[in-house]
Amino acid sequence: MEALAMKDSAISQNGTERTLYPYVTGTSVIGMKYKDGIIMAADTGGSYGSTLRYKSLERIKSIGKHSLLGASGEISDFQELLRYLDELVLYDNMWDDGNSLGPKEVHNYLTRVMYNRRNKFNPLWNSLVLGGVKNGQKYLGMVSMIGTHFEDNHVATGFGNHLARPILRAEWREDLSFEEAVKLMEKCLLVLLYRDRSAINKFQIAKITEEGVTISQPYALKTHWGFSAFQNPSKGAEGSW
Amino acid sequence: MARFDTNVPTKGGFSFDLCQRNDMLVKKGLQPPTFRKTGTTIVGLIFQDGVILGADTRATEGPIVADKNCEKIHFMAPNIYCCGAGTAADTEAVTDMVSSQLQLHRYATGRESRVVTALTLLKSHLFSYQGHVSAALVLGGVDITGPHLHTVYPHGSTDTLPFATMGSGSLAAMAVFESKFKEGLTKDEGVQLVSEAICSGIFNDLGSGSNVDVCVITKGHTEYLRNHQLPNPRTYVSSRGYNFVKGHTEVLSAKITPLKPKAESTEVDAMEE
Repeated sequence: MEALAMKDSAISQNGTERTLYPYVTGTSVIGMKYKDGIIMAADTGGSYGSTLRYKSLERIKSIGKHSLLGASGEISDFQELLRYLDELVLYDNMWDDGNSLGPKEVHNYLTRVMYNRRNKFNPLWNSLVLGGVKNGQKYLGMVSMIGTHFEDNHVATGFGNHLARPILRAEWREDLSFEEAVKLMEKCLLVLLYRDRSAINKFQIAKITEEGVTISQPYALKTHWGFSAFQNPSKGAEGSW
Repeated sequence: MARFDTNVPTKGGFSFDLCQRNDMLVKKGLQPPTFRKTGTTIVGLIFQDGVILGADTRATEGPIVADKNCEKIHFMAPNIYCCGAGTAADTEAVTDMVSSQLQLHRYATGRESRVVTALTLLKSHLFSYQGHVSAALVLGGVDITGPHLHTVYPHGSTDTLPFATMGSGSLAAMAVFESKFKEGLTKDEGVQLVSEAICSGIFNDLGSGSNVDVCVITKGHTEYLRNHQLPNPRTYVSSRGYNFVKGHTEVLSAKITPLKPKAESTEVDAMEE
């Protein structure tokens, strides 16, 4: 009875709370492998319910020397994760043994953190995309808020799963050059911009190769609204919409 | 009906009379019967000379595929076709009904049916049933005023669009359309794009599958390409099928019982005709 009551109310006797729903959310992140490494893109918007509260959030960050982390979902939980990862990388550096955490290790750490939090009914409300290159090996994986994790050649979170992955499944190839990968990425981002209500026209594309990380400055995509059918939609059907 | 004034004639539309009783039954634990949904990908686009409609062919009943090769592109008029998503019975019934109404209208007016006529008949019917007729349609055709493409939603709202997708696979198909659609496509480009969008739905959405149906409508001519693409062929292990050779199964014992019944012939009267 006690346990049930505690589960049902967010605030128990000692005042601790569980995450019930997200407040400030980021929308989709798309990631894919290309010839030299991993390329990842996300827009810079943070929605507060149905309003676009923040328009300059960086949702892709570099972790250590070999990884890139992109997150969608609750932004405060993403920031908390970054603190955990900072601590992890710091402790790793303190060993001073010339070895550093690769993307596979960081992915595993994130999976454990997310799954453990879900087991306590207090999840970190994020879908994470983790990509990186170490010793020539490219790695791209995803972790969801309940701890589901997998590795693939291209991943997407949120709406990207429905809108971007069909395109990637049809058009992704193993040996994409950087320019081709960016073009493919922009194709997916444009569809998301048209059809996802919480997407904004301000994107950052990040790439990671053996050499290092580059996160681009935010930029906008060109949209096309000039269909002749949009000029007068009810032509021929007067009074309809 | 008891609370209505008997002088007012009953009109069509959703009758709320049984809602209270249904609520009571649900509270007592009754599971209402489920519908067969089409869990679909349907698309339409306007090209140079007219309209092209496309649909997949899978009908689902929850997690089971009920029909592997159903027809989702319904005939409305010789120059108007309609793709349907949602509850299969609803899409069939509503398109059949409007198709008959259009034919009667053609006899009355002596003219070719217009797409807006079908549109108005559909939307007023669906609206009066307040969304309980679960039919989401892509209506396309070419009439005297030109090519038209509309989407109709279960609650009765409509959109007039140059390209449209509906159903559970609509996002996968829309991703293809948004990245590749241009105005003024030729017939072959249009059919190719429609097939690509349906295939995207078939392979990326669990509610859609099997084959691709396409319908090309131009001024004065309609081409219904049933099973235009079959991207999910069934591969049999052996073309000869199964072969059970006599003697492969050991016979332990045999007992033969004659099937002649022990009937007693008594005097019976002839059957009443």
